[in-house]
Amino acid sequence: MLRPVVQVGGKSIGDGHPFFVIAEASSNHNRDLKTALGLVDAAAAAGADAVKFQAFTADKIVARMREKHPYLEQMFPQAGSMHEVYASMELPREWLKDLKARSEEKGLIFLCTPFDEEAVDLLESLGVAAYKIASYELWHLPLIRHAARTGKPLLISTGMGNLQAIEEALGAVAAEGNDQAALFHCAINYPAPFAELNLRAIRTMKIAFGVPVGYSDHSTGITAAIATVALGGNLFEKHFTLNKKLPGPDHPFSIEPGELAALVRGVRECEQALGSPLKRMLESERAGYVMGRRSIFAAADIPAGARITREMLAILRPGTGLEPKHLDKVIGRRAAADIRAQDPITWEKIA
Amino acid sequence: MKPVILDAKPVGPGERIYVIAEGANNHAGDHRIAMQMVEAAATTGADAVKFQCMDADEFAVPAYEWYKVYHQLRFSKQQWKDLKDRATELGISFCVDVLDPPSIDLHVDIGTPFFRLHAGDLVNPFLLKYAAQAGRPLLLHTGMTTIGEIEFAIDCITAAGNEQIILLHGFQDHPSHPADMHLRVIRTYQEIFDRPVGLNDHTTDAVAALAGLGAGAMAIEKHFTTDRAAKRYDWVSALEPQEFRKMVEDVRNAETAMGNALREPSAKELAWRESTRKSLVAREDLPAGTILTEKNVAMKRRTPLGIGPLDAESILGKRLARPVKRNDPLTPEDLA
Repeated sequence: MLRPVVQVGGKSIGDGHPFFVIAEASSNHNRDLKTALGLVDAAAAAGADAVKFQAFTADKIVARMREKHPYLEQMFPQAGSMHEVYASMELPREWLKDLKARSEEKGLIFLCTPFDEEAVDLLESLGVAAYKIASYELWHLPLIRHAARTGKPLLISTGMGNLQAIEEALGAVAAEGNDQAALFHCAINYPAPFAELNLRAIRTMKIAFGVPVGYSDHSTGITAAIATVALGGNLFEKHFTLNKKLPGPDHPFSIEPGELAALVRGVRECEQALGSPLKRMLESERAGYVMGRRSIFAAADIPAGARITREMLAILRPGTGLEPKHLDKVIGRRAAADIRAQDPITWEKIA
Repeated sequence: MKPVILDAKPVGPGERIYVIAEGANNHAGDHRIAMQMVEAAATTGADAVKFQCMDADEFAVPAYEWYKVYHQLRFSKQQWKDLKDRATELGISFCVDVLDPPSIDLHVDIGTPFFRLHAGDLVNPFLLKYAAQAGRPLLLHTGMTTIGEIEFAIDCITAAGNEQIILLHGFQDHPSHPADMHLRVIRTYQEIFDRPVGLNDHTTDAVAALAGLGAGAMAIEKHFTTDRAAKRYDWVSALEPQEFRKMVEDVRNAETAMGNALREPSAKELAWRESTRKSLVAREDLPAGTILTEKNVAMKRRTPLGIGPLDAESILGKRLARPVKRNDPLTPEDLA
């Protein structure tokens, strides 16, 4: 039985716990360590919970053939093969230790998506807190099983996947004796149009599997993050870059540090804003409640004993007199004492 | 969620609960008994009577433990048609579990209006597709399946161009125990698949059916027999006609009782309010000139209603213009 709440680097992810934001650096380091460290620093400054990189090697991710992934074909028109494309984006694995150290120094949880078993083993030797499984690897059950055997939580993206594929992946995690997995709903196109996000599937996945569910976002801007919080999602992942204009496939749809900070701020504001389902006046609204509502006032001086008519009354702010609903009960009564124009009408003033 | 029409009756949110008397194989291959079951089911108020149709040699291999029994259960096409025609004549819909392709062909030929697919076939794309192509509504029995397998079955059927799908939740044991029912799954299916959901109930009484209805079930299927003591097949959880009739009555009452989700007092509740809410009355004989206070007035039941306790603030502190006797209502006219 998979747990409804998973523990990642000392943080709980699931209902009743703070929304977990992963800043996805992906290959936006452009194989420059300074840029990679800069991404860690930017994620920390933006207030993300975790920063994430990707550990793939060309040899272990793609066959040497000429067919190209449509998006990478578009981004690398000159490349001879997919192998060449992936080779140009590989994260040097010797950086992982430094990136993890810098992340921890900055108070971030360091995450990295392994694309092969060796990457899992290396990350495990570094003591990472969890393993991200990319959408394309939802069907790579040997990799999922290998990662599950570490006993660490698996954070699994499910772009293109249906319930059956997710069920199989979660079954593989559980079969290894691992009871911690969280899911990301995802629309994989770059950028994903809003009409294809189908964020309601987050709720479907929560109902179907009873594990934490979030969204891995390939759309532009921060709208999906706010919506994921509002829909009861538990975690979120967003591609970010130091500069959208840098060369590389992930930069164009990534957000820059300022937007990442806005995303985290928006998420935290939305978490607070969801508040309580009870519909009532707050204590902090009481002053406004008294001063802003209407009540029955004398529109003119009303001498004691005079029969009160509608013309003698006005319904005005503040709400210190009789409520407007009593108007018909006041009309036709006699003034018990002199009532001055602009005085609130109270039961004591009418006979 | 769109309703699915079963032989002219819609099944879906806000529609009448559809009740199926599942005759299964309680006829033991005796066509006369099957005919009696159709006739008895028609007296219970059930919407449909259902049997299971298999072609033994297409359904199982000879070594399978029930293979010989399947042969004994066989009816000819004419016999099936006679059952269906009799049901139609008596105003009850006729349906079958189609357990193999020849059974689908047979029931398409005789015009059986809708089919149910057995839980054992939910991961069988060949039969799912073939049944879907018959163009009739399909009830999917989802016992023993996972969410992903149900999704697979639905995908197979819709890919064949058939959207008329009702999911039936229910675990078949002999009998099923309340602890195995997990009626909350009915809501789960509705949320995930957005299609009408019913309950396949194999417990021995009507409790799960009624609770299932409360949990959102839009159809109830329950085993049915004319003679449980005969212990033919599927008798353990089967109700006899008298019991089935009582269950249908209970289902009708329960669905009526589910009513409306908006909290608005009904006309009957408003009448109840008239007779039970309290009015301001004099606690004792009060002479003219008395100043009304909480001490000399009381809130008591009386009819018709007078000034209610909520309006006490407009009365207290006022002077009586005329005497009011103990237990008489206080009215604005009594005030000075």
